[in-house]
This record gives sequence, structure tokens and C-alpha cells, in this order.
Amino acid sequence: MKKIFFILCLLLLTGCGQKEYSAQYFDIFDTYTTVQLYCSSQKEFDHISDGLHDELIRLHRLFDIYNNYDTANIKAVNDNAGIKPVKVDKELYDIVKEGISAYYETDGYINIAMGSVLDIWHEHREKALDDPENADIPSMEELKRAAEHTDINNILLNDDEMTIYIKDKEASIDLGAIAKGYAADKAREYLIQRGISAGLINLGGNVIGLADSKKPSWKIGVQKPEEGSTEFVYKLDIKNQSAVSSGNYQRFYVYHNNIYHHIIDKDTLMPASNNKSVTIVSNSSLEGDIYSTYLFILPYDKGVKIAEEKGFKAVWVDNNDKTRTQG
Amino acid sequence: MYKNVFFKNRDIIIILMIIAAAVILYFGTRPFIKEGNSAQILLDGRVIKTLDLKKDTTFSPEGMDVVFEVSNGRARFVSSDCPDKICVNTGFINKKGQSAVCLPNKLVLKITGSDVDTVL
Repeated sequence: MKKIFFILCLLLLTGCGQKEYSAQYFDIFDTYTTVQLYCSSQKEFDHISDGLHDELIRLHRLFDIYNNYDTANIKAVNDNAGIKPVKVDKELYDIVKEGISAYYETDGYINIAMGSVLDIWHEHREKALDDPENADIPSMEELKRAAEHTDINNILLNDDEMTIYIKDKEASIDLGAIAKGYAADKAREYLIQRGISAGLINLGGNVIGLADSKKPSWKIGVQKPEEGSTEFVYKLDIKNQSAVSSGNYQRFYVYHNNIYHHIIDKDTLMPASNNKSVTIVSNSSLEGDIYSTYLFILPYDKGVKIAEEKGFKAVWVDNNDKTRTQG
Repeated sequence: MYKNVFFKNRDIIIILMIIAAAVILYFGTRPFIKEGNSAQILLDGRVIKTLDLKKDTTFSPEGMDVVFEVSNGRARFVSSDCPDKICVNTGFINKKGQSAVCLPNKLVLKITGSDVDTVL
């Protein structure tokens, strides 16, 4: 008996062959996704990673506001604004519901019904990136007109029918502030169901980790908030947690030497300008996504109180590149 | 003859085989070290350019007939005017510490990484 035990101990020394495999996806949520998983073989990894990729593509299509697919997605809901309710898949229904509660949780700063305003900024950004010489910014009149169609109560949900209806035909839903967080949480569920206990997914700024004895924690470098910078302002250790950054360096264009990025403050209808980046460590990536954007918009003094209240670890980089942490 | 009361000879052989397997697996998997996150281009030992492996791009050092490429998280010499083409034949590299070298042009393409698992 002792001998068998001794030999089993030796077998443990060989590690039973689990090691880290990785893959990259380039076609989801308009960003670059990396997946690192501890698996027993390349074959096992490929199988799980391909399945995960398919699942993320499915979610990407549901939350896509620009393209139509076979299944009714958020674009179909927007196209039918003021016309008729649209029956949708469970995940789309769920995320819209989450989006509405985020509105009330964040004093209206995270507003999925703000599509009309975000569309204008999106158009100007795309135009500027295509043709930087002729970059411009939207007029305040145009933005204010659009802002009249951002009432969260325009979105009507029907639990029994699982339908979504936007009653104002000028209004539209944009899930940009929450889609990746929701998808990251779903991706974690997917991996757990398939027996993965150590892994890391980085959905272009939304990181979700799974840690066990093989990989007790994951080290996350928080990038200096400049496009393409390889410097870190901070390093985080996460276990079974999420880390999300919102920053002015992710989606932006330059006009008259100013950065115009994608996170719009509802009070000014302009890109929020209190911080360069905010990173949140939390259990749920959806929550991390919501609060990293919310705290990015708020000044540090207000944000730090909220982070404390919610028990998040948070990292701020202000406009002078000063880094502050909480938790 | 001396007799081991705890192990028989056969057991010792099995134990040795397991230890050997552990050693082979340990060293055999060392090439699978982490992928780097940027590629440095060095001319005569000095870094002249750092490319982000996350962004597909091409680069040609000024005044030289050499082209580098980053594609799908890997980097390589696409072409070079050197006679031997050893640099081009090295192909794509993506692991931390790997490099491709063009001696005639004194150019090195090197994958560098950091001690973090991912970047936000």
C-alpha cells in the first residue's frame, strides 16, 4: 500500500501533463481577444477554444448594432423602433434587462438607450479615422437634438413574450458599455462547464480569470494610457475574478490636438474628460464593465467613494498620468 | 545478498522510469514558454523599432531593402537583400526570447515579453 502511495506521489511530480495553451480571435466585438487555458493536450484545447469562439461569435452577432444576421439581434430591435416589438434570444433579452438596471445603479451615466447620441460620435470617429485631414466634431445642436431621444423608458420589455420594443422611432439601443463584460461572464461559464479550472480570457480590455493550484493567480499589466504603449502603470493579481479597463486610448480620433474618444458623458454629450483610464477588479465582468465606464466618467473623488462602497479594487490614471488605487 | 525490505528491484526500476519521465516532460515542454507581446528590431545592437504583436503591420528600416511583418501575433523577415536569406528562412517567431537574425545587414528581430500574463 505504501509503495503504491509513493509511486502515485511520483506521478504527481510529472504534473500529469497539463500546460498552458493559447489562441487569438480577431473577429469578435471589434477587438483582439486572447485565450490562455490549462489543458492536457493541444487537441483538448482546440476543441474547447473552437467552441468558445463559436459561442462568442453568437453573442457578438446578437449585440451587433451595425449588421443583420439570421437571428434577430439588437440591430433588428433598433430597426423596428416605433414600429413593432421584436422577439429575441434569451441572452439579448437578459443583457437589455441588465442594461436597464445599470441605468438606475449609475444615476443614468450608463444608458443603453443613448444610441442616438453615440451614433453621431461613431460617424464622426469613423470619418476622421478614414480621412484624418478632414476630422471634425459634431455640433452641440445636433447632439442636443439626439439627446431628446435617450429616455431609458423608451425601452419596453415583455417577459412573457421575450420581446423588446423601442417606442420612440428616433431612439436606439447601444450595448457598447456592457456587451464585452456580459460576454466575458458567459465565456467563464462556458469554460467551467467544460471542466477548465485555470484560464484567462482577454476580450480587448475585459479580462476574466480562472485560477486553481496549477495557476494560483494571473498577473495583469495595466497599460500606460496611450495607444500601443508597452509600459505598465500598475500590475494586478487576479484569481477567479474580472479586471476591466475603460480608457481614452481605446477608441478615439484626434481633432485640433484633442483626443475624442468613445465614452460620452450624458451631462456634456462630449467625451468624458476626468480621467485617462480606470480599471476595476470585481467578481462579475459585467459589473466591472459598467463601473469602469461609470468611474471613468466621474471625477476621482466621487469614484473612489463608489469603489469603496462596492468593495472593488480600482486603479485610476488621471490626465497628468498620476496613478491612484483603491482597495 | 543485501535485500531491500521496502522496495523490490522491479519497484526501483518503475520509480526510476517515472523520474525519467518527469525529467523528460519538464525539459521537453520548455520550448513551450510564453508567447511574447512585442517584437524588437535591432540594428547593430540598438533597438530601432518596437512592434506590437497584437497589431498586424509591416515595417521597413529607412534606407534598407528589408521588410518585416507582424501577422496573427507573430513576426518575421518577409524579405531581405542579403545573399543567404537565413533571416527570411527562419520564418515566423512568437515566443519570448526567440529571434531571427540577418548577419549581413546586422539586423536582429527579437520577441520580447514581460512578466505579466495579459495587458489591459
